Amino acid sequence: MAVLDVRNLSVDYLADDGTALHAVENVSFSLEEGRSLGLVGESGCGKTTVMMALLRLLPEEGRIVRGQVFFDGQDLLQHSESEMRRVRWRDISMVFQGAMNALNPVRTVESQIVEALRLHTAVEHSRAARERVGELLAMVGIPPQRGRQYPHQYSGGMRQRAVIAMALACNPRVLIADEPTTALDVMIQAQILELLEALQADLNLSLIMVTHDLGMVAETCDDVLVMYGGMVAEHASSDVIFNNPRHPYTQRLLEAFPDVEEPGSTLASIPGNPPRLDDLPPGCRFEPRCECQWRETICAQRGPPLVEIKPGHCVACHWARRIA
Amino acid sequence: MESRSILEVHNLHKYFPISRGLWSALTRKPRRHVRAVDGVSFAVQRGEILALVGESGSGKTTVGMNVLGLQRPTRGHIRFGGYDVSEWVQGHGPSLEADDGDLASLSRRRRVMTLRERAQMIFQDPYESLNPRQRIFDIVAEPLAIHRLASSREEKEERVRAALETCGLAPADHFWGRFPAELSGGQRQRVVIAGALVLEPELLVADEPVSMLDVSIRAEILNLLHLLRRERGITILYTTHDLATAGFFTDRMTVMYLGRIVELGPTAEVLSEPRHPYTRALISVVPVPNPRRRRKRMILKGEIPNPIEIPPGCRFHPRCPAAVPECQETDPQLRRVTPEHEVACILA
Repeated sequence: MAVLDVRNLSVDYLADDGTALHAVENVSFSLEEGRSLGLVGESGCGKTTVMMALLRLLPEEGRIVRGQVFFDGQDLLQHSESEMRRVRWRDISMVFQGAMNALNPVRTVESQIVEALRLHTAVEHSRAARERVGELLAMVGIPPQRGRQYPHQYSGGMRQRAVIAMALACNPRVLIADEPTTALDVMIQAQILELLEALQADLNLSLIMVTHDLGMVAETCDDVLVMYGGMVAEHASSDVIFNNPRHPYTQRLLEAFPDVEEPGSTLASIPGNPPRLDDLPPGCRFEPRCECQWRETICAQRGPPLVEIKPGHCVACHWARRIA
Repeated sequence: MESRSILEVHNLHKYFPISRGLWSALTRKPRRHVRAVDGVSFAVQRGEILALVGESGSGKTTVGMNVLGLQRPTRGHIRFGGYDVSEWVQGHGPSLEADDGDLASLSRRRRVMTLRERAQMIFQDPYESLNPRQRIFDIVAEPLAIHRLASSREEKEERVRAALETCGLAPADHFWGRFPAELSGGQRQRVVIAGALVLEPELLVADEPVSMLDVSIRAEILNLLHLLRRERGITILYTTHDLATAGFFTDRMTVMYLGRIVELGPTAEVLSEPRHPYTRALISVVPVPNPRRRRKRMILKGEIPNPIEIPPGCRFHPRCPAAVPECQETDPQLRRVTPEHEVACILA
């Protein structure tokens, strides 16, 4: 059963002059209980905006203009702010990008996790809260006695573990991790990935991983949603995305990713830049950079709908059925 | 060493002293040091791309800084294009050979400037290494002014144009009036590279030049570096923790751990037949872009120990999955396992 079901979500940002910029258009996906979904795309493709929108944490200029976000059958977009506050952290929790560098430097790690517990659960006694923090730290591989230390006494990898512990404080059912390993060394990256995998299995967490790193997605996610220019380009299981992608953008993205098992192979870059929000192409968003042999005038005129070409495999390309 | 080497690093050591507390000073406790680089030797051929691979704290960046003369080596020598760079920077008398007439007569400052002209650095973060208030033209032209290399406005424009266009920012006049904030991450990194290229250097030290960039842009920048080597024979020292990008465009690879080289050899050979347990572990954790090829990761516990108290014996033994008791005592030296492949491990 889907724990989270996002339907036709669209988000605008209001520019200074009052024009609405379409940052996210018509994004739909569902997340099954205990599964992991990778949300992939270049900077600016709207992947973080989608997550912020479903948690209703958009900045002031952001507007959800359409769509529904069902969690356990209830539409989160209809919730009041106080109802929403109960959902965040307890039901859906997020490890924000760069959160490891946003820990309060003058408070101990323990007291920062206790604060999250106090605000979101009914933990009254400070002793109970501290015990829970010890459990959480142990769960992410930090010796509980180090909870009394300050963030600067932690290495980068440990700070990231502490941030994950904090996100898990209230036993959420869905964990969203936004670029959880960028800026970490390869070995530490692997440690964090291994931790997320273990936590997912042990706690039956449903996981959304937001990243530009295809390798990480291939390693940890069951399903993949590829976004481009604020829209879904392709959505399928990891196996299909990595072995039988049909959207030209997905294909180019894979060609641009170096494979350590094939050293010396050529890397194709994708010429051009992603579209600017104030200058979106009228047709397919990827058309100006697309080098697919089927590209035709229709691509520049009309945006392709997201079509399910095989069960579970959705592609937004006019030529998805012809592209091999 | 062969004479084709453009850069030779001999037994390089770089220690940073740690400030002592008053009590330690009074009790005359020995001053302690961070041993960032602790005996590193390698040579780079002209036109070669060498990867220096390692985690944070392995000393790879420090090696790059010393090569460029931005730091003084504690011990050891760096020879660049036949001259002993380490001594120039240290300010000890010149140790130049008799036949280097033009350089020997220069002042120390001039010699360091000459080094800078020939060896340039590309920094990691194109969002922070460009002055936001300078126009692209001025950023790229600044090295020319510092080195007094362009006599006229026309010459300056010509060289800036050539550098920008080589880096794929063509036509140059379309870009040079802009500010960094108007460019994308990939374009900014191209500007950084153009700023290094405008002096027409022989060596580029590229310190994690793509780690801050999106995957789709990384390929662009790496392809550009590759092109510079192919078309201009520029030698590149590529510092990274990412074995996958290193595998794609470097000729040889050195793997560093705690200030030492643990493995060195042709890139394809090191990646397909790694001999050192550390290299094997590093390769095993690189994400492979295909779920059908998920592998067992060899995860090392903990992190690189701090380089103040370096473990006795093999410095990798506390984290090594293959360690035997002897590893606690023997400090392994690099030895040849195939004609071009060297490993510092008693078990290899």
